[in-house]
Amino acid sequence: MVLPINAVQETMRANPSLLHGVGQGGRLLSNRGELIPIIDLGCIFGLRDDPAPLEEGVLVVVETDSQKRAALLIDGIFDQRQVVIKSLEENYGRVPGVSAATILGDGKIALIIDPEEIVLSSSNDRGRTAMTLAANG
Amino acid sequence: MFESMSHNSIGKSDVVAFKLADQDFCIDIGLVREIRGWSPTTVLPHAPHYVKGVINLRGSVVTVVDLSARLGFGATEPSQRHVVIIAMHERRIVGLLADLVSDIVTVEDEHIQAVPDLASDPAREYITAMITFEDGRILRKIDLALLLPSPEEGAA
Repeated sequence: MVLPINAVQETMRANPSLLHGVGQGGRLLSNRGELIPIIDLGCIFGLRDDPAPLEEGVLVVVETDSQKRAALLIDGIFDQRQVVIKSLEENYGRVPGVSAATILGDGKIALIIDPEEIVLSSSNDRGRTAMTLAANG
Repeated sequence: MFESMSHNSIGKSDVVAFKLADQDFCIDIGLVREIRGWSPTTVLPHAPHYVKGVINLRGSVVTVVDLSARLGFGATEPSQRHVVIIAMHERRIVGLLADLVSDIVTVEDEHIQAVPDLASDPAREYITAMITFEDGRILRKIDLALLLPSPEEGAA
């Protein structure tokens, strides 16, 4: 997966002193004097059912165009690179939370994440329901 | 019903025959661009269960559809021996995952029959014709248009 770098503010390992739980599943990160939600990308994309433990992943703090901030939980970072954007819609269709695809150096396809959509859709339950509904057709 | 077949001469047309779950299927040869071996796909989030993911076909992002899952035979565990039939449909390129491609067959129109009424079976919906051979074999002709996720469905 690829994340546009203009959305990325910083990346970090989860520091337990900065993490706070809210209610059942909500997790917050205290960052630059602000509490921001932690979004497990694996769950958002349906790749795993249970949220991953925060200690094992990497947190990427993103800011969207609408000034909303969130920390995306990912498994790891490879590197930073320039990519050519390939349309997914041409041969397939739209995928929620994904803006396009790209082809990596080894020929594999990586999906480009749309942080705006991810943050907005998980910022409220209504958005999440809409996304699930949309995904199920 | 059969207008979409590419006729090579009067009363004859060519189809690509392939196997799925020990049954013989075919699609019109005019739709097939190439046949390649299975290569690992990039999984798409929120995709229908029969969409295996996308592959890189010389720079194009191509969706791979698991025909076995689509037709209700259950999901395929793809291996090196499986094939992906690259087909073109309404300007969209799609890969169809099948067990093996057996043949290119010339079919005479008189051997093409309509599908008999079967009880509702998922496979029945996507088969538009049956092709019989003198040795008793039959080919089930698949309609790509019905099989593929529509752009709206993908958008959903």
